[in-house]
Amino acid sequence: MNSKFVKWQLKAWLVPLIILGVYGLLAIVLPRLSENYIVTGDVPEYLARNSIASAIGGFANMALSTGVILSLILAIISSDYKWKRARYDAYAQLPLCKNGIKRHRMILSLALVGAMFTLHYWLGAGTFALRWLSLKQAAASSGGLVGGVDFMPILLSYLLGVVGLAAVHLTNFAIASMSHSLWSALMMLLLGNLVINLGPTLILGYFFPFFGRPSYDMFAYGSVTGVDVVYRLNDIFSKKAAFIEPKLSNEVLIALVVGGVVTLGLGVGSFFYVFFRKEMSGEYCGGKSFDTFGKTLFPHAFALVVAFAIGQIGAAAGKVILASGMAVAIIEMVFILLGYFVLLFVYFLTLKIGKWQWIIAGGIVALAVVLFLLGVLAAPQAYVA
Amino acid sequence: MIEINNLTKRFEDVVAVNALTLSLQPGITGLVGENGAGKSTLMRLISGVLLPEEGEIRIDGENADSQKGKAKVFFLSDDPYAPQGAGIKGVYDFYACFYDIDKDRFDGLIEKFGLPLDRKVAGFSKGMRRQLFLALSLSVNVPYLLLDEAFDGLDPLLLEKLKDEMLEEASKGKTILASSHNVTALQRLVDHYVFLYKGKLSTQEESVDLGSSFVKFQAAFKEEVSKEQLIALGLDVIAFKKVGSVTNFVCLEQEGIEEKVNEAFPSLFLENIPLDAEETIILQLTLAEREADHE
Repeated sequence: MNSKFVKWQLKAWLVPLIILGVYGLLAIVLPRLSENYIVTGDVPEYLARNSIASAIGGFANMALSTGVILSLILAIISSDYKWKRARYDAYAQLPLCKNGIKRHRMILSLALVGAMFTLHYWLGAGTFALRWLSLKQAAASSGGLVGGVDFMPILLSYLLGVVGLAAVHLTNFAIASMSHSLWSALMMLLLGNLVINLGPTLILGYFFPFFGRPSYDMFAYGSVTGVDVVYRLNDIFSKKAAFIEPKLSNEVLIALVVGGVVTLGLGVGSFFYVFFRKEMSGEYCGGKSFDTFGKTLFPHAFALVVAFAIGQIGAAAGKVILASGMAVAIIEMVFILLGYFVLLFVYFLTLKIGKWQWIIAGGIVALAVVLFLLGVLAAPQAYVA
Repeated sequence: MIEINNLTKRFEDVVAVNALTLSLQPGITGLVGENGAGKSTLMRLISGVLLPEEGEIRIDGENADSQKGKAKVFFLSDDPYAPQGAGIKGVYDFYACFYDIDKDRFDGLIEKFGLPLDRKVAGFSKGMRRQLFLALSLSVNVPYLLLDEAFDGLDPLLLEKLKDEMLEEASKGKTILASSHNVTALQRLVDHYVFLYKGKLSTQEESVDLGSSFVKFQAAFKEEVSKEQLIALGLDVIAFKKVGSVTNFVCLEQEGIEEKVNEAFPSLFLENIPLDAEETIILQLTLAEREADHE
């Protein structure tokens, strides 16, 4: 273990880590401190006060969304080998033994995952606690029902989801180090759908399967997207009153459990696959040589963009259908399967990108956009209903 | 010693290095070749950045891709890596994690080059960046230095300072392999030249002592003389140029050139004129191209 390098890396991460922590707090916790509820009949409705905290939180969330989009764009742009060549060359020439690299990767990835897990867990658990207390107070003051929401099952399911999220990040390491094998493609395709907002993270995981700065990049983007996931989960529980009805909260719970278990399984599987079965080569990524990296990355990046789009459609459509009374778990699984096959198809087609590949892939994206727009247009009516 | 045996590296259909066999001796070796000849690829293979398809590279007996092999080499690529947001100290700190760097020498060189300590490397000009990494390269305690496009972006004054520093390093017994498009920059510095052409050595010898294989003549013939007529005399003409009544031609060295030409083509004067390093290198590459065409 090169202790000097470990110290160097920790130093390099410290400032971004603090910034991210503050960011997460601004985005999630602050707006929740000032929220309020009124109860109409059996269903509580959420009203956020127009307070400074809420404004800051809103701004932070906007910035967060921008960050997610930017990370996606940057991920695609900077996937070109030329952009990263200096870093590749530098890391590849460093005098470290391959086993040392493996150890570094393993320890650092576990540390990163641990850090992320802790951050996400406490942020998430904290906000869920706030939500629950808030709802309880609202119910007590109004004498109405709060839709049978019980804090502990939600918290436990969230814990499972966060473990799954951690596994996803670990899987990113796995994917990143496996160049462009079919296995990695399958993993990526599944995960790209399972965790809607982790598209950028997955792409980023592809960048460079190494420790140090690239790991930090992955961690940073992962945290941003992870925080976004938490925010959106909270959003579901807060703004949409219908979502906290007993039946629907059970369905959300099922979705979380299913997603968490599957993701966790995939993460653990790939962890063993990478660290205990797969040998690394001197050329750390991109198939046979560094110079083909950009070309081999492209299909994956493209597939992930589509996965991201489909995931968003799934989310939008899921909300609409959920509000109409259908089970979110089924919807989620349908979208997972749909996304999986579509992306598998795109993956194979785009290995060599020609006219037909562009047409097919473009058609899929166009379909995704149309569905997304339909979902957005239909959503307000559904919520009202 | 760095020993390269039958080394081949392909990028899809392009053979960047083709069955190359070479050994690098202590001192400064200039790596010369046209764009795409395989210079950078060769350096990246030696430094372990790339892996060969065939053949092997041994660095003092160690595989170039091994930790022990890499620890003996410092590779300054044409686009060296500085950690994001790092200044000069940040760059030093990063590389000091992996290499034994002579801090005093590094600081001394930074001062000598007049580089600003308070600015980030990202804000450096190309030349300043080059100076920083050359200072680093010359301060790293490794027996082998690979300098890709070593003098790119340096002004002549600094270049001379740098040459002194490189000669000092070479005098310590280091092996330095330096590639440059600026052939004149390699003068006064290089002990041997290695010519690459399409991934192969362009001469039979592993390294070349400049000026030994070509002879250049300047003549004012009484009658018109063509390149073909000179070739018909049995001369191996590499270059031929006519400006007004003066003819310049270069051929591979052989006995009795002057006598043969004088006998066949009367002239007002025929004199042997010296070749500079740049001309020699261009001729060497022309010869390589011609031989490749023959093959």
